[in-house]
Order: sequence, then C-alpha cells, then structure tokens
Amino acid sequence: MNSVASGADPLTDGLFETGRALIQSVDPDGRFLYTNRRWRAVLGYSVDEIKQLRVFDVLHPDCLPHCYDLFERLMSGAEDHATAEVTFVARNGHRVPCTGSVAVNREDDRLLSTQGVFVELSGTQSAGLQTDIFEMLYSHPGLGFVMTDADGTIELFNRCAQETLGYSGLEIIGQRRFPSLDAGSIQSAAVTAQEGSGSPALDMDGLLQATSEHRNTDRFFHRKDGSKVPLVTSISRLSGDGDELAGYAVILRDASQRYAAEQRAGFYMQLGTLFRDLVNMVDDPVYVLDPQDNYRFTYVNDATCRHYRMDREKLTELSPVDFDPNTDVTALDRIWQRLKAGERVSLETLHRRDEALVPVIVTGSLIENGERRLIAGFIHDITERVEAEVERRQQDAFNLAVIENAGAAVIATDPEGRVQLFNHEAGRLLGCTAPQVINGLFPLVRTAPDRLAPASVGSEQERTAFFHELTAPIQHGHSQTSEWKLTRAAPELADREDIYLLLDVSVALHDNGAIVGYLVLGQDISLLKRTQRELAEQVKLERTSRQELERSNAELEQFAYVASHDLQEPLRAVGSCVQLLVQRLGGLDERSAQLAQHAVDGATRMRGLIEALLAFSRVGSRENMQEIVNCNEAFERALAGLAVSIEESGATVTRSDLPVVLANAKLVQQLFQNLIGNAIKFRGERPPEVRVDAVWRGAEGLWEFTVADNGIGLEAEFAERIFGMFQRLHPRDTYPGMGIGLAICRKIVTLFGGSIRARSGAAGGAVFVFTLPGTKENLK
Amino acid sequence: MKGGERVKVLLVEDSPSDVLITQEVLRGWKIANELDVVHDGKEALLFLRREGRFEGVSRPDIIFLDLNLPLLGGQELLDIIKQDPQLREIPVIVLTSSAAQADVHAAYLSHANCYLVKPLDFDDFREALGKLESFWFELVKLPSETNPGEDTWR
Repeated sequence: MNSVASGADPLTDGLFETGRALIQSVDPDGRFLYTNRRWRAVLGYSVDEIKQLRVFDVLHPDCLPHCYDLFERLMSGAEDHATAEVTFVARNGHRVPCTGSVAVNREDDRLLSTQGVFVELSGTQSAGLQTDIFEMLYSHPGLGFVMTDADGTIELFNRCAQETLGYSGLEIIGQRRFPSLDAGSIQSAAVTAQEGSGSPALDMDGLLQATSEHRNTDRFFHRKDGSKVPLVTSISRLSGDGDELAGYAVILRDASQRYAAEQRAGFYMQLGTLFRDLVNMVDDPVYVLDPQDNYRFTYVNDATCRHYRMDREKLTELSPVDFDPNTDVTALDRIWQRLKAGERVSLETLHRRDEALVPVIVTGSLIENGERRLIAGFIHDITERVEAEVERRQQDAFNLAVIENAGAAVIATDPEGRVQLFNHEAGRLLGCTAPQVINGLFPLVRTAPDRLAPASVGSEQERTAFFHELTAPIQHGHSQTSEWKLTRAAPELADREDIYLLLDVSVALHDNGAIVGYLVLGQDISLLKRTQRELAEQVKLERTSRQELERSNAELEQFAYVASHDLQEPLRAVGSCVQLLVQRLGGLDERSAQLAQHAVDGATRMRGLIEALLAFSRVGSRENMQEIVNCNEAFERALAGLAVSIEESGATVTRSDLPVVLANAKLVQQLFQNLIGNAIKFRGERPPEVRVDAVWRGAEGLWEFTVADNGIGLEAEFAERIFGMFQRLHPRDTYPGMGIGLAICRKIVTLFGGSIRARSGAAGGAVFVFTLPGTKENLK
Repeated sequence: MKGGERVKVLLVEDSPSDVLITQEVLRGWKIANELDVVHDGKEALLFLRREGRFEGVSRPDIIFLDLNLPLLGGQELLDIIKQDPQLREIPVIVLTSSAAQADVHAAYLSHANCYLVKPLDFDDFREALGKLESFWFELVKLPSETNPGEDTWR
C-alpha cells in the first residue's frame, strides 16, 4: 500500500480508506502519490496501473482546460485551496462526474503535493448511505467497530471497542493483534456455539482464520484489566475492486447479558427432554437459580409458571427478590452460604402473585452442573393449608369458647379417668383451676351416699373408685344422670348452702367400639332446688290462704244471712211501729209527725245501707274469675240493664270495638252498668253522652278502658274519695243513692288485678279509666 | 169462702213487732178472720198436728210463714209441711224480710205457694197483706175442710 500520509494518524488513514469519498494525492507533475480504496474501486484502476498514470490521464477532455488552469493556479501558489467539479474517466471508459476540493501541501514555498477529495455526483445517494452507515458504526455506543487492512493490521478501533476492552485507540491501531484476545477460552455458548471453533488464535490471523466468512461467534476477550467479557464477534471481508482482499471489518457486541440468559436457556436445554418432561409433570413448582447470576431463575418448571402466572421467558429474567417482599440479595447470599456449607434450607415466606401475597414454603439445595453451582428446590403454595389452619384455629377457639362459657361444668377424661378438659364452670364449682387437675385423676370423690367433695380431700383410690362408680353403668354409649350434694372445698364457704350438683356422664366411643373417653357435665341446680323449695312453701301458703278465704266466704254468708234477717226485723219494728203509732194516735202536731217521719226514714235508709253492704260483700264471692269475656257483649247487656234510665235521660251511649278480657262476664257487665249509670246519673244540663273506648297497654299486659261523659264532672281532690264505701259528693235529695256503685267498681277491677281512677275530661265531664287483664290479640 | 164463716190464718213469726203489725193489719181486713200465732217452727208443727197444747185447734186455711225462726227454721218447716200429705194442700205464704235469691229459690223449690218480702213501710205492708186477702180469699178457690179425704177436720 502506498501511503502518502506517512506519520499521519492511523485513524485518519483508516478514515481515508473506508470513506465514501474519492481521495487522491498528486505530485507537482500530476503523478499519483496516493489514491484511496474508494478511488480505485470507482475508477477501476489497480495500484500498479495508477503508478503509471498522471492525473490528467484520468480526467475527461471536456474538463481538462479548467483543470489545467486550476492546477496551475495551485502550483503557482496563487491559491492553496480550491473547489472543483471534474469528470473522471474510469478505466472501463465510464464517465464519473465528481465534485470536490483540492488543497496543496507546501514546505518552504516548495510545492510537495496536492490532495483532492471528491464525491461522485452520480450515485451521491448511495454513497451518502454508505457514509451514514460508517458514521453510525463508528460512533455507535453499543457496537465495537474494528477495521484492519488485508494483512490484519488494525486501522480503526472505535470508542465503544475501546471502552469494552479497556484499550485506547493508540494502543491498538497499527498492531496486528488484539493484545489479549483469549483464544484459549473461546467457548461455545448457547445454541449458536460450535465445537472446534476454539482453535488457538491469539492474533488477528487466528481470528481471521477461524472466521474466514461472515460469521457471528461468541468469544471471550480479556480486558486490559484482566477480566473476561463475552463478545459477539462478526467479521466481514472487505473486498477491493477486483474482489481482492482489501481488509476486514470486525463488529464486537457485548454479550454479557445475552450470554447469561443463554446460559440459563442452555441449562434448560441441557436438562434433556425426558427429565424436563418429568420435572414438568411435578405439580409443585420446581426451580433452579444461579447465585452467580443475581439469583435469577435458571430453570423453572410448568408448575412454577402456573404458580406465578408468568411465562418461562419472563420468569427467567427474575429472581426470588422480585417476588418476596421479605428478602433481598443479602439474605439470599446468607442462604447461599448455608447451602454451600451443605445445609438444606426450607423457609416459610410470602410470595407476590399478581397483586396478592401468597404464603409459600421454599426449599433449597445446592446442585452442581458441571462447573456451575446452582440452587434448586421446590416452592409449595400453602395458601390452602394456611387458610385451613386459620379456620381450624378459629373453630378451636370457638369450640373452646363454647365449652368455657357453657353454663355447665365440663370435665372430659381419657378412658382411665385422667382429666383432659376442665372448663371454667367446673373450676368454679370445684374451687380449683384447670392446670391443677388436667392430666390428674378424676377430681371428685364421694364422701356420703348422696354427697361429693372436691378431690383435694380424697385419696387416689377414692378418686378412682368414684370415677368407676360414675362410669360403670354407661359402658355402652348411654348416658346416666345423677343428683348430688357437693361440699365446698373452701373453708370460708363451708357455712354456705350446699351446692346441688346434677352430673350427666356419657361415654365417647370410636367407630370400632373402643372407649375414647368420658364426658362429665355438671350442672349447679342449687337455684332450681331452692326455687322448688320456695315453690313448695308457696303452695302450702296458698293452700292455707285458700282455706282462709273459704272460711271468710263462709263468714260472709253468715253475715249476709244475719244482715238480711236479723238486722232487718228491728228496723222494720222501728219503722212500722212508729207508723202504726202515728196512725193510732191520729192528728199529731206537725213537729211530732216530723219526728216520726225521721224515725221511719232512718230505718229505710239503714235498710238501704245494709243491702248495699251485702251487695258489696257478695261481689265476686261465688264467681268464675277466669272467664273469657267479650266486652262488647258485656257492654250491650249493661245497656239493656240501663234501658229505662237511658230512655228517660235521652242519653247517647257509644263504644269503639272493645276487646276480650280475662275476667267474669257478670262482673264486667256490672262494671259497665255502674259506670255508665253513674255517667247518666251525674248528668248536666245537656242530654248525657257516654263514650267507652279501650287501648292495649302492652307493658302491663292490660287493656285500659275509658268511660267518658259530658256530665257535671268532678273536682280533682275528690277523684280518689269517690271510690270509697258510702262516699257521696252530693246531697241525697239531688242525686239519690247509697254511694256504693263506684266502690263496687273498684272491688271488681281489683279482683282481676286491674285498677280504676277518675279524672276530669278534657272538654268537661268525667272520665273513668280502668284496666282489665287480657291479650293483645283478641281471642274473639 | 162460705159467707159468714171466718177464715183461719196461722202466723208463724218470732218477732213480736211483726206479730203486732200483722194483727193490726188483719184486724182491718174486710173478711172476718181468726189469727193464730206460733213463734217457732216446732210450735207450728205441734199446732198443725194438733198435738200438745194445740189439741183440738182448727186446721188453718192459710199459713203466713217467716223464714227466720228459732229452733226449727222456716225453710225446714216448709219442707215438712209440703212433704206431709195431711198438710201440703194448705197454702203457705212465705212472708220474710229476706230478698236473697237463694232464699226465694229454696222456698219455691220446697213448693211455697207464694214468696213475699215484707215491706219496711207500714202502709206498704198493709197494702201487701190486703192484696193477699183479695187474692186468696176472694179470687181463688181453696180446698174445703169437708173434703172426703179430710174427715178428721170438722
């Protein structure tokens, strides 16, 4: 190669040689000193031919005058730089129009040479593309770009290549070898690797030899600092015009990442189909990961993909750190140390899947694959187990809470009577706690035929004996109930009442009939017992009081008889005899006649009072007090009984729909009759209007009736007094009567557990309010 | 009643004032009458059976019977009379101060011919007895003592 630019930067040489421009250097005679590869390729002259030519020999005659002129001006020193459009004539006769610039190279005013750089006018586009590709390759940040001449001397070594291998351009360019090309460690990597390509090739020759054609191979190179880097190496032959070797272009691509991925993929490939299929048939996720590759998954089976809901390609880019919020590389390093020490590791943690965290158990072991040491293991999804566990714990807690809070004492034993379960109530009754009795003998002994005591007072034999006594009758799955008195263990409770204990013993059997254990339920029935006793006393008391009632009823009858016979005769004796006396005497003076009349009136009134008293006494004395009474019917009968006074007074008596009450029909009728009669009797100027209503008073379980009138009303201070016997608010001659009606009303209502009161009506008149027992749902 | 013949009334009554009043009223009757008075049930039976000191007395045409009597009560006496074939055709007017339904029922169940509560007022009493007079001695026909079956009566 005829190099003009001796001493020039090899980089510049490289640029000249690979550029798309036609570059030439010509001596003052017009002889060629240098042409670049492009020049020769375009114009088709060989290096030797060019040596015989002058520049004017390859210029088209049309542009020669112009060129001579330009050449003269440059040579004469008039100009040292010019632009020109020239047409070259290629060896094959084709015209090659170009545009370019020419500069001169002088030394002490002596012209040494001219340099011209031209660009073809035709085919500018394709030439531009080539330039662009060159520029792109040269400045590409991710591609190392190296060019050599045909001998393998390195002419170009771009920035990326410098950075990748750690050498500067000056250290490399002009050399015939990559200083530390590690041919010995050339490895076949991944699928494209091929055996035998690793022949010793320490220099470019070896490299070129190994890759005589376009080729992508992965090779390890030594960096200047000694570290290794895998590079994808592509080598292309550069041809001259006559297909002769012009040089080589080498593209280097950092393959570290791909190499790691391919290592992983390669492992998968290496597994072999049978083994792979077998592992994929495992339902549990299986993984292999590489501690040297940031713990990325080197291999995962189908179950792992399903578990994380990811495909294999994506998954093998990730490591457990990406799934487990509780771990990081440091933690994995620690695990790795343990594995290397020969441990097997199993840990329970949470793995992210979609957006949720899934509980898993991850196992890990060290496996060796050739030189590589990897971690392999299983991932168990324990969601179901954890959920079941949670559910079981909740169920256990619930069961325990039920047993603990049961109103009954619960003691469960094994077949020998050793306590397995002892709840709070049992502890309360026996005066001890579960820890004191669990796994001990049955905690009760019998101290008398019907009396038990806590085990603290009994010997082991006694405890065992009582347990057998208790369980003997129920060997076949039945349960047996017995009643006992329990002596309190605590001395401070000794003077208290006995606890009455109801023991219910049952046996739990296996399916095969073997005894699992016994369940003893104890209920404190002291309250029940006390209630029974009190009830018995009450029944006795009631019997006594009923007898007393019967006696008092009998006395009442006696009184009634006496009143109706023995008291009346003296009265008649007074009344009639005075009358008879008056008649016999004849012609009494007015004063005497008046006195006689008083005696008669007094006797008459006395008789009325006695009758009223009798009527009052008799109320309810012989009635059925538990009849179902339709108040509507009772009301109507009361009206019938009042027909005369209603007609005479022109009264209007109305009612709403009245309920059914539990009372006595005759007395309820009498109640209505007395109250309505009362309302009519104490009427005002207007014709009487009486209204009867009822409302349900749920809280008391009573019906509340109101009898409202428009009569003379009553003053609040007398509202209570009017219910007394013989109480009157008005002179006898204004409103006749004994003053017994309302007293009878109160007696009737009281007999049924109700009450009665009176008040003024909102619009005048009086309102009588009384209650009678019944139910909200009318039993009509 | 045959004209001119006195009607014979037996009053069974322990109360002297009532006896006095009754005597007074019967004295005022239009019909001539003869009033015999006994003071308790036992005496009444003796009278009706003409035993003891009542040997030879006349059989009464009507009996006014108070219920509240010593020794033998009015109700018991009524039962005996009405169960006695010799006596039961004699009308018995229960004349009493008791208005109790129990007494009324019992009396009629024992075949009392009439039950009258004694009015307290003397005039009312006289009127009531006046009505008895006109009913029993003017309106209705009473059995005669010359009845063939009653030969012991003269």
